[in-house]
Amino acid sequence: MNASVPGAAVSADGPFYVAAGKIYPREVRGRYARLRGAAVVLLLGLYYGVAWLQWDARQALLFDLPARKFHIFALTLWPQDFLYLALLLIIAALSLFFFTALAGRLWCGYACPQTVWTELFTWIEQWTEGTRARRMKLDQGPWTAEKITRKGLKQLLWIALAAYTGFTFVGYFVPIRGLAGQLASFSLGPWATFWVFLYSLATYGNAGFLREQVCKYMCPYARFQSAMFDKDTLVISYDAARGEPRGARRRQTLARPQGLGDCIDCTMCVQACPTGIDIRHGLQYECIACAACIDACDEVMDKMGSPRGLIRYTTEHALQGRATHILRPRLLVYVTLLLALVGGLSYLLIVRTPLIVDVLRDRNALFREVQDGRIENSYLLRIINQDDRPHRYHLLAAGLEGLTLVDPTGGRIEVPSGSVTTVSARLQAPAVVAQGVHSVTLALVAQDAPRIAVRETTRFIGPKS
Amino acid sequence: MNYPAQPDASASRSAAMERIWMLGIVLWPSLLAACLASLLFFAAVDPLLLRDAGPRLFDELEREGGYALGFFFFWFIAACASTLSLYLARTLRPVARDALTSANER
Repeated sequence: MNASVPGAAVSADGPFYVAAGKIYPREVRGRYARLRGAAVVLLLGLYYGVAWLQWDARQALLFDLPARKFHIFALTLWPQDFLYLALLLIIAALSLFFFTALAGRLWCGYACPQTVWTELFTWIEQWTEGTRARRMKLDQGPWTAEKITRKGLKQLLWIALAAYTGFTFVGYFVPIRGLAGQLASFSLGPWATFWVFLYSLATYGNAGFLREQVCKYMCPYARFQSAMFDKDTLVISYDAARGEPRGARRRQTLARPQGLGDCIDCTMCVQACPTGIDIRHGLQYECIACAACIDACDEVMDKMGSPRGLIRYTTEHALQGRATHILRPRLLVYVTLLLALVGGLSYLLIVRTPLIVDVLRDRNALFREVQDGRIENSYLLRIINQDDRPHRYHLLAAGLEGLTLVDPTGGRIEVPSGSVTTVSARLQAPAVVAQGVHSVTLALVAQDAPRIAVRETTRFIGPKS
Repeated sequence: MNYPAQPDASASRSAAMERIWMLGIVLWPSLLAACLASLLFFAAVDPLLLRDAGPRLFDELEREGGYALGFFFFWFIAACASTLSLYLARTLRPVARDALTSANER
């Protein structure tokens, strides 16, 4: 039958959507759990903390969208500096590729905001609702006073945390101290309120409810990261050769004489998995490499008296009993590209002049004749001082014999830090040399810092010969 | 040709979930596209310049409002593209799909 089914999303492999059961990850202890915890504290500490750091009486890290200026500690970037930001993003993407090729999904397991906030929300859940078994029982049970209290407390903490996260997020785009003041006096603007609310909602939804579904269904990186993988990439894997055939046995007994592998099929690795997969089926794209199954299995192996590492960080080559190569062409290419980009960006930032001059010719008249038969051209200079302190600039002109500058500011153009000033300037040249069209150069030099200088070439137009 | 049957016990719930699911398929990638488009566009263009150049409709708009308006505009356009993609993929009759696959294999 070839009829299409209206209203049902079907593909060749079956329905697009299969309702997923709620996953109750089992709490694990161990070295990777500690590492993940440390990553959560460090990264979220940075996220919530850096927003409040000050640098020279302004916020240290502020992507000031209302003022169209990005402050990154000592550096202030303007929209004209978009190149630096683009380079920075490319470097970030390449680093992700590099670390993926080297050590698999390190990003997913330890550093991705989705993982980090989910971890924090799970801590709150475990603190209010208890262990995996208690949470499952609580969900199945009736709405008792205890259930209402536990669930209510969890929601309260989640909402408070999500709201503060949203507030901090907006604080990276609008000065956070001002934002806090407005919040305290209930005078937050409509747009700030809207974005705080939206980001809070996203945090709450992503870390509270969607969780592993973000990684499984929404994350593009999860789908294409396998392109960076090869047989020398560090992955989390079950050692099937050592574990199979799986089966139950007494503690502190040897597996092999009983015709068994080391895996006792306790399913702790499955219960611990936040994405609800069985690592023993091999590498799956749902695996976010959080290493919870390693900790769970190691604990069981300790109790059974078997060596740790039935599930471990390893490579496909190592599992096949072959040597793992860390230095390989793929990695060298990534490293070379990264070094080149980081070097290029550093160079550009070092030679960057915090001054921009736009020269506009007067549109009303091509030229004027002034006294002594000299020819005069008028220009409008738009001067942007991108430095974080005020400067006084000298204007110089060159390019024609006898060219003089009629400078209404008397050689003192003062521009406050981070501002734009427009000044008019007139150039005069003797009529004999001014005939036709000429290229002239205008140079602006900071008086207190000769390094800050910009040259702009423009046209000087005289009467036709 | 048979399709796997929907679990009938929760057929209506599953149909509703599927609608939400499709909404997600449309809205999520278009949101990512809108973020990128806003970033690139507003890096080059100041919303205040646009406001002053355009009709007097938006005279009161601040920069923040301009960014938000631009973002939702891009999201809407990208969502239209996503919807169309989903619609074209979904309404392709299986026979046409088979023809496409076999043509590719040849």
